[in-house]
Amino acid sequence: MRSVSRVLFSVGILAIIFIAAPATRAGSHTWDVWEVFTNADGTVQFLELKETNNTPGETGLGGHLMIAQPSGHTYTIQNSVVSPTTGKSYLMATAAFAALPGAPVPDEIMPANFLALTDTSCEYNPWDTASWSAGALPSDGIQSLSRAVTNGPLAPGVNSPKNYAGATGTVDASGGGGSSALPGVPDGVTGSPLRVNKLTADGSSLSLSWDLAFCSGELDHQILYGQKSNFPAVPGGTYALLGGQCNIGTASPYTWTPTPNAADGKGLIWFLIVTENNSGREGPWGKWNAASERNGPGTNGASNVCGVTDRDVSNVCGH
Amino acid sequence: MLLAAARATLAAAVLLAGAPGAPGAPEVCVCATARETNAWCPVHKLGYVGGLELESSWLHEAVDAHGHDVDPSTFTCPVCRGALASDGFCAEHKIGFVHGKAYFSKLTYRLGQAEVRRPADIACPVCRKNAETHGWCDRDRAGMVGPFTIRDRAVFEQTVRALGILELADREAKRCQYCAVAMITDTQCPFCKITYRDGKKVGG
Repeated sequence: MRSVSRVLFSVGILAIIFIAAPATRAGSHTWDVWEVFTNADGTVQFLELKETNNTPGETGLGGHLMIAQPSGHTYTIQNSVVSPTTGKSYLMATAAFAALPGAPVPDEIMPANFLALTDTSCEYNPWDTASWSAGALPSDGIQSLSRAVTNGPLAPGVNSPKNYAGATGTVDASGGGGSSALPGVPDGVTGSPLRVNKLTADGSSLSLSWDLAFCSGELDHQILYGQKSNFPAVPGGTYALLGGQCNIGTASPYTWTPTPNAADGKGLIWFLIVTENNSGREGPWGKWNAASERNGPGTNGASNVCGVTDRDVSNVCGH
Repeated sequence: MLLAAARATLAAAVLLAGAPGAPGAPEVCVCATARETNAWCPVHKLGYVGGLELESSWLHEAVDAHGHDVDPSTFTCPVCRGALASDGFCAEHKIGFVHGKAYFSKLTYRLGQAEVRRPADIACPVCRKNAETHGWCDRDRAGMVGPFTIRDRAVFEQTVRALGILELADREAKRCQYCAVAMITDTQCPFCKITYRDGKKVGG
């Protein structure tokens, strides 16, 4: 059996120094408007800039204007940053955003309602403007508009704010404050089934594909796994777990490396993929017979891994 | 064997205090070379572009006086990529390239292409005189824009025109620095709502 090395915790210190807008200017040309987000009432918003040309000295953000059109709303960036700026992001967000679970710490707080739902562009004056079609700005509290490449088009997707320190996350500002019902991951009875490809002969690396199109409302996923001795003692009983692969995101396929090894000598590892909302709640595990959900050891059958403390199976999609 | 349950999550340690531009770093006068390097002197609060003295640091930064060292692979625009390969200029994104360095204005792109000559190195008295401001020498078939030598007459004239706009913008910066930047970028001042083209107000 393949041996598994223990993964050591590492501790880092994030020391970020923001300086007031200086009298002596530094570079500021190569930042692009990278991601924009609002909820329905405009209280939860963020703007993310990204340094897109891998240039280290673009520190002079302070004093530049953000301009939303056609509302004409303006916001003056308050801080400059210290080099190196290479490829980094800068996050401006409302106080309500900062208070949400899963939100990275904003680099500065901006007022609510900078973006209007009728806006069709956001400018980092005068160097970059991100534009979108009328009505295309999502307001469901989950989706944002973001770029994938420099000067590229904005496309909708699950929000992924990132700050200057590189911290990222996902927020749920859909109105439920993180309590929106999460769907299941289709098992083939509904939607397409989970598929697994072995990428290495010993199974230490697997490619997992699952149906992301059948349901909506996923914020994130995690893999839950156990060994043979973790199966319920009786049908309908509680599953124990060995652990979880946390925050695997919303892209399929996902490469799972390294996979865990069984410790009970049986040579069997089982796993499933569930949705989660990054606020301590996970979605359904699927049913073990036609009517009954599989259950973990936590509240409402939650796994109690990856920071999850509760589970919600009220969304019937996918399970 | 049991897999240790958790994965490391936080490894980024960013220590920035000693980086260039950090608060408390001593400011050094660069006036001795600023005219030839398009530099800004933080001690005397003035800078140069094409031999022109500027008082607005905001404008000096905006005109991109000395260009950017950039990662070529980050440019996706086909025109930009072509310009990168040929030391050309992308009109859509207003970026010019000289030896892989990016200049975010036509003026500094042209200056980036020019040869720099110190007054002591200029034998021709007309050219030496021209280098005090700007001017064309028919005998040497060379234009001087401050210490920058441009040998193509048309490019020289374009550069002088752009320098004239920059001079006007520097004066305008005393009233509104956002207007000053709009003047050199052919954009609209977000506060005054004045749109500029070639340094002049357009419309309304």
